Amino acid sequence: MKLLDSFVNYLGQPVEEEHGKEFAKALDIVGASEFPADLTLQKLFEELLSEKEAHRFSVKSGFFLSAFLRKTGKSDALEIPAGVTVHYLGAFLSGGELKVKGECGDYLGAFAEGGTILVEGTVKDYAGFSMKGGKIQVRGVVQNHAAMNMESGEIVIEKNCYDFCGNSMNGGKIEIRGNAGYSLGYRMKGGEIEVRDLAWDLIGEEMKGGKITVKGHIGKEFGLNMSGGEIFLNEANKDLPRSKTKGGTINFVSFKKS
Amino acid sequence: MTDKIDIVALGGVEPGKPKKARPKEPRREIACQDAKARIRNFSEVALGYKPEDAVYEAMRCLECPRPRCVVACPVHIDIPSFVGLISRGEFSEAAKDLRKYNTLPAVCGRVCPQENLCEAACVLNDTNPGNPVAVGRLERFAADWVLARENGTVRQAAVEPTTPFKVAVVGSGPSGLTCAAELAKLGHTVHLFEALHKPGGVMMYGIPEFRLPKAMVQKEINYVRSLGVVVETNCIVGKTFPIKEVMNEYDAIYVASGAGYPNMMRIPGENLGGIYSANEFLTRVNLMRAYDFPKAGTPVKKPKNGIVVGAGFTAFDVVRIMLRLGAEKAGIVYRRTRKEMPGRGEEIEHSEEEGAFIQELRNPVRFIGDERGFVKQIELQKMELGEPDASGRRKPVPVEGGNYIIDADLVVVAIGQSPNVLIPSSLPNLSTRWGSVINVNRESYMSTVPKVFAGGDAITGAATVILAIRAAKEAARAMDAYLHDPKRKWFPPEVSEKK
Repeated sequence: MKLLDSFVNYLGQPVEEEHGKEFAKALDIVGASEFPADLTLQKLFEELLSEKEAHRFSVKSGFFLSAFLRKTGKSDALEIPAGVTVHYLGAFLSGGELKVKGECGDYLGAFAEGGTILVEGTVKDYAGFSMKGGKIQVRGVVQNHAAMNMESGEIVIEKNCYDFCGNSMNGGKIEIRGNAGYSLGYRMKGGEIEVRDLAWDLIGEEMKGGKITVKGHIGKEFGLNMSGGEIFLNEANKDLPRSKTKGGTINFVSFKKS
Repeated sequence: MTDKIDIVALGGVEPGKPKKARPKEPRREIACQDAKARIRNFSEVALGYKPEDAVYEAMRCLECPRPRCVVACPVHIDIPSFVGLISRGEFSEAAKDLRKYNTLPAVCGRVCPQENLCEAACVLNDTNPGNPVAVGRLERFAADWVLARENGTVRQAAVEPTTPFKVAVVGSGPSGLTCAAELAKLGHTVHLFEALHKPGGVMMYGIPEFRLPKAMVQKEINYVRSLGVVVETNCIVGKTFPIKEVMNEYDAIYVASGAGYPNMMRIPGENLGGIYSANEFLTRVNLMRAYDFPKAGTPVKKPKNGIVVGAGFTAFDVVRIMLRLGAEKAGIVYRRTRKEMPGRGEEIEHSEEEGAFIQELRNPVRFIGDERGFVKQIELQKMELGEPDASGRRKPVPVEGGNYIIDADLVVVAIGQSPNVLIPSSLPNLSTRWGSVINVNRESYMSTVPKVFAGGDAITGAATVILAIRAAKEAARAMDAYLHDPKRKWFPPEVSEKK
């Protein structure tokens, strides 16, 4: 079956209960399809766009493109037109490099095991969800729940990151070169987050382990109910009211301007 | 719509030229009614910016490439973008830009505590402390600009439902309205149920006219209606019809029933006449217009000596209403100090300008009645501050032998509100804490009952309008995903205890 026909068939099927099962299904369908060896991600995406009015397009097209990437194992590039949302780009990526231009949907690079994703544009929620390796670098804003359940790997955000960055992360590293929103490192268990400028309220809320460094201003209630891990904050904030903590350490240090 | 503005005459950015920001200029104050005049009326206190004020203030914004204000805004409005449009004279475009992020900008421009959010994070505080860009006033200006034109309301081409799904939204406060609007934009059929006779929730019954004009709230609601949302008033879900009926008829339910259940002090004499909960007092005055009695059908006691217990937003609203009702003396009694007060700095300042007094480190221990059963005095206990508690604020501790009595013929208890128990009591499997606060999954906003989602004060207890809006926006996205694929279980079925 041709790739587009396979996609139309896949689009009509309900979404699986689990991410892994959904990706396996997409991988099977791509594997059983016929496509020329020189087919690029961009060309495939442009074909898929003919089906974009379907309700499940944003979820299914992302899994399908990610399965194609995994199958071909090549480095590739993609430009997403304005007004089109694609979730799960680069999900389960195992190697190579994916360059994306435009706005990415949710779950960018989710469950990635290796490789590099470079994005020029905004990234929506759950970027790097359960990531196990590789690198995501975003030259734009990353919205909520970035790196949720992350196990390993690296995320670099060159602008701002919104709320719940590092939610329940277990390992890996996040570098935010701008500012972070609310609840940075919420329920974090391991790994490292570094913020170059400001992080707003509830830094390290219910944190259990790992390390958070915020070099600039901070909001209120930092370390609320944290029970482990370390938070390093700028010493200029040391007189701010403290919240109730159950463990872990909050250190105020001097950061040299870089 | 194009605004016919001479932007050069207003000192804004010349067309085709780059912006030369003026961050060192002082912040532009907002015009207000004079304190002596305003305590004789219920009209809005802050009069808003004129176009020249708005352009001046917008020119102070540096439009930072990594804006701190955006991360500190709970709904992450692209502040530099809409402020930039104002500085270029594109006021209607600025309002349109705002509405992409916030369904109720005219409301948030008035009642959002910007001094603790976007304005507190503004980079101008670093070089010019206390002089951040007045983001809230600019938000209000842009929203009002459009609402004052376009025939008194913002009309949206009605969105025809594009999906077969029907959603019920319970409660028409900021959270309910926002969720309804977001779901309608996503193509779902939305029915919004309001228990009272007018939609708007806390914006209608809780926040007084002089802070948030009701006509403005109704214009914002008309915008939501124009998206195709059907608003049904006088419907108490769980009483007017059973919740099971709603669950059978709709594919998903969003509970945004707010926090309308008053907390009381539970001290002797609290049942005397002349002692109100803040909810009752505010509903009488704001929703039922008791200040206009007997023209309006609902009365309220007009005080000589009015006392409000508590020092949050609500307490300051109440004390200012007491003064407008003609109180000779009206004031706040608070068990901590001014520094720990949860009320907004601007509201505290306005209250004192209007003549309200504040008694810090005092706590009522008993209300004393007259022979007719009405309150005439309060016994207060002096307090001092001890060690910080869980909230980080120092805990008030009674001072032995420091009791005394003051006169009061009207007392309003404003020590917080809790969600109503009606919905939790109608759904036996609904997990709650503290009796009525609904537990939800922090990522999906789904409760422990399938297809029932919740947000706003119903999941946090009484909080701010902007936090309710944030929950509603996030919940609407999660509900949309659920409606299309209800079996998807991509989040742990865990419920959280704090939002």
